[in-house]
Amino acid sequence: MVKDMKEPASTQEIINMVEVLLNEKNGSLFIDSKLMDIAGWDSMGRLLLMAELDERFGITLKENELAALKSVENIISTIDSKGMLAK
Amino acid sequence: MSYKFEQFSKVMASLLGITYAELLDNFQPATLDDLNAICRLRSAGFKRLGDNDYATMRWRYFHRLNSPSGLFALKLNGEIIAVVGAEPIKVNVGNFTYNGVEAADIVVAKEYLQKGIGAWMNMYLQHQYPIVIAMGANENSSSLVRRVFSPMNCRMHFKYMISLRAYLASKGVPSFMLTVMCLIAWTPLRLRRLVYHTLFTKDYQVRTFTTADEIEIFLNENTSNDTLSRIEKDKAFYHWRYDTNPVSNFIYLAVFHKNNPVALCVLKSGDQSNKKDWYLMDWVLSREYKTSENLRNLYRTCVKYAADNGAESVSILLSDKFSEESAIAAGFSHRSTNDGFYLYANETINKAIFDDSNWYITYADTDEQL
Repeated sequence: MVKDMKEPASTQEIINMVEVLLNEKNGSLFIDSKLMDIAGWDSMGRLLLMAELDERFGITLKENELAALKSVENIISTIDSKGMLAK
Repeated sequence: MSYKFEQFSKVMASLLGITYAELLDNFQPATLDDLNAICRLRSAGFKRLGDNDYATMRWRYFHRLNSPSGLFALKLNGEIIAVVGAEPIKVNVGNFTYNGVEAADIVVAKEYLQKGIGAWMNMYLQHQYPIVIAMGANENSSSLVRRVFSPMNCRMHFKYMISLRAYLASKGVPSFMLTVMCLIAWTPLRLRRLVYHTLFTKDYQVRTFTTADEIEIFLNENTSNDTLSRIEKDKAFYHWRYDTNPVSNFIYLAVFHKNNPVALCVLKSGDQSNKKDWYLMDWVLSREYKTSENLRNLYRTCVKYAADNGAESVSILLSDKFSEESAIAAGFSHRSTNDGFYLYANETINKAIFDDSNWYITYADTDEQL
């Protein structure tokens, strides 16, 4: 049986993923975009991000880690810290 | 909006400190034993107490004997922390009929807000039923349903003012100015309506009914609109929604042309707090009489009936061009445009269901003014 290998993603791929999850137009978010300025960053958006990080990267975010996310850059850093950012 | 139900559920369950399986086990149709707790939860979340009393909730969600209620409750440690109404509806799409639900009345306990529970309950219904429709009753619920449903037609609120005096007084116009203000406001309205009223054909007969049993003639297969997508209603629906309604009073009004049944509608003739502002809802034209002239005459007939029986205004909420044009031609004025209704249909349903022009939505379909 082949193990489900998680693939690292590039910075741009992560930004695109966040755009889809938070219902933002393609190309509208940047690395320095603040999450609190995004309408889709509500309770549902947060859960969607948690679910996606878990499924796509095998990253399980704790509540305090989720609460610490303030920008797209923070999301990228979190993914990087788990070794899932493609260099 | 695409999402992965199972993934989302697992995350939400973990935030609640339970497993995915426990989350599903804890979300079940409510029983009558739960109803008092549900009413308390709703009262804490909604200020409109009339919607939250035991009798209304029992009527609305527990009326199907030997069937689970139309109200799902999420329990945590035995306490109800969230509720969503899931009123069964039958939706016709082309030649197929699907069993769906209308999601309504979402409430989440204060201490569990901002955990995605409202979104998850909607997702759950979408996971269970091929078609789910929803309304956005306020800014919070609108922003929620916009995330998980496809937005459909805008709903347009039209009103026919029968008494300007009462309306202006309610807006704070001092009594000594009412007569002058009425005259100023009434003249253009009167002139406009004069034009419309001359178009009103006189050889229509009107008949009122008091119970759904009498309207069967309109509910046979010849009487339905011919739009591709519609919410199917039968005598049982009319009987439940109107005859047994514990809050509001309704009148069935039928229009005949040369003894042929042309149209049927329901007039809400007030509720416990307001007997003057009437609502026109759930109108349907016989298929062979589906013309703007007949719909216009139905609207006009309703206004005349309401005026003769003490109404000061008649409101109508609609979302299709045909009804809109007929309402304007009957003398109604546009008041506001609200959010539309929201739709989810799974991949087995004909995609034509997402075409706004295939729908013919009335007040009752949008579950307002019950």
